[in-house]
Amino acid sequence: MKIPNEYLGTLNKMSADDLADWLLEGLRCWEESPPKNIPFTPIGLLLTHHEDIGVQLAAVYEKLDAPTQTRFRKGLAHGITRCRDVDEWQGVLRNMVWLAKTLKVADALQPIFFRLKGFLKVAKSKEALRSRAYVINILASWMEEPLVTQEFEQLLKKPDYFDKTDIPIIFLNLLKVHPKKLSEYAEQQKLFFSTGKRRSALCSFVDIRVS
Amino acid sequence: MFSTLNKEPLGRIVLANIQCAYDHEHIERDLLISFLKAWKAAYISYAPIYVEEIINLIHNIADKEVKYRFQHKAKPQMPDKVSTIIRWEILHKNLNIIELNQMGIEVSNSAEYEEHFFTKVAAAFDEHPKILNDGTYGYLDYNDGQFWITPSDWIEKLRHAKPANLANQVRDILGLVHFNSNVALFELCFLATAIHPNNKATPTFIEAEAHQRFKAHNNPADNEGWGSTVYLQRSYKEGIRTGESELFARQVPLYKANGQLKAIGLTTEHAEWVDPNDEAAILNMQNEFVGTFDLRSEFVTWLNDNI
Repeated sequence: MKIPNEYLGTLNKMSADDLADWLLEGLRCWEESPPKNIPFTPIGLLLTHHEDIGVQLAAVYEKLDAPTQTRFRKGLAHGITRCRDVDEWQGVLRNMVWLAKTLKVADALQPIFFRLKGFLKVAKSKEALRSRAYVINILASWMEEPLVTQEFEQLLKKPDYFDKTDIPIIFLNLLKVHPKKLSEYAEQQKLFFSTGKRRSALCSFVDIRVS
Repeated sequence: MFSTLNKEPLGRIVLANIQCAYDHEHIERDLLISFLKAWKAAYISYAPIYVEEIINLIHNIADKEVKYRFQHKAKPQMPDKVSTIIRWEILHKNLNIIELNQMGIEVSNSAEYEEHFFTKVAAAFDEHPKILNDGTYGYLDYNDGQFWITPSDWIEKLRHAKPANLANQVRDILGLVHFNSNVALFELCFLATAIHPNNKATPTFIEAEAHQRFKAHNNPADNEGWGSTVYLQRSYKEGIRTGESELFARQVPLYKANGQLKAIGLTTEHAEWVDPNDEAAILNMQNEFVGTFDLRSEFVTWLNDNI
């Protein structure tokens, strides 16, 4: 994406809070009725609907100067904190979380876990359940951050914290970081692996890793 | 507005495609004029400075006023199956994330897709056809449910021919110039009968928006009414080579269209072998491509005077 210097100059003057508002308002309108791109001022009309909005925002980030990139990362973390706990905002949250992982914004991890342990733990709507599964998926692929591994290890110890549908993605990714803990994780999730099909899948998995 | 567009190659590509739609009446003349006037009004209202911004206003207008899209007069015959090519970052948002978690498939893009990523995703779709979200409206929830389609046969033949890199080749044949290296691509193949006749059309400049390698046929009957993609090349000095057939479609209820998800793979080369950060090289390619059009200066003058 080519961004004219005039527009980059405007973006490079924005504070972390401005950027948080910019992301929240922009992403919220992107999901709504037209014209969707205008709130992403000054670059709204440079964004296209033929490409994913997250991919485009990641490209914008790459064009910012280094201090603004730092503020953008802070803004992203602030923005995740400020997402509203209603269905209409779940698409915004998912886009922000994807962007945080893509840009490797470690500061966003605390706010993401706050969401996971708070609203997303108790909400039952289709949109919230989708966000919950999405956040777990993104975090599971972010195990190179020690905080993520620690949090997951703690949460796995709590009975019934995760749904059985979440276990495979968490289990596989934890093992990528700590392969020697396979028996420990399997023991913690013995209820999950108690069914014949899952137990045989685990045995095949162990066979593959051993061989 | 039209003079500004005429100053840059991307604007000239759009102008040349407008000229084509006007000369050969791809769209009913009054409707075309009405669209151009709506575009001009939006231009005055939003006061965009740059050519890309002016062109992107097309989306805002066509998004609000659906009557402007899918108006090409050609009536292309449909094959049994059609496909759309979709990148993972968009596809995963249309998949049931709970199912993906159960299958251990990560949605996050990664510099290195794991070895069996593509086959795992395709297998997940085979085993759980309901993995495709119904979306808010029951169809692929991307770009307001609108996307490009192409007959599926040629992709299958190409796949069987085992090219060195299927993703690079499909990208090049379809003129997908915005996909550079390291883009994970999938093919969503489905029954053409799932598309309502009013929800597909040969593309014009209105559907193409800011597509950098779009070139409409002069004669709507060419290629049996289908549009043709521009085969991405290293140079367009000798003219363009057409790729494959294409149409624009919307609101396809994929969940009941016998959809199949097939892996295409990861692109390993930049489109047209041009570094996406090399603005001079990009401009050079656009100038070469616009050189394959015959945009008349009097047509631009006519637009300026009459719209």
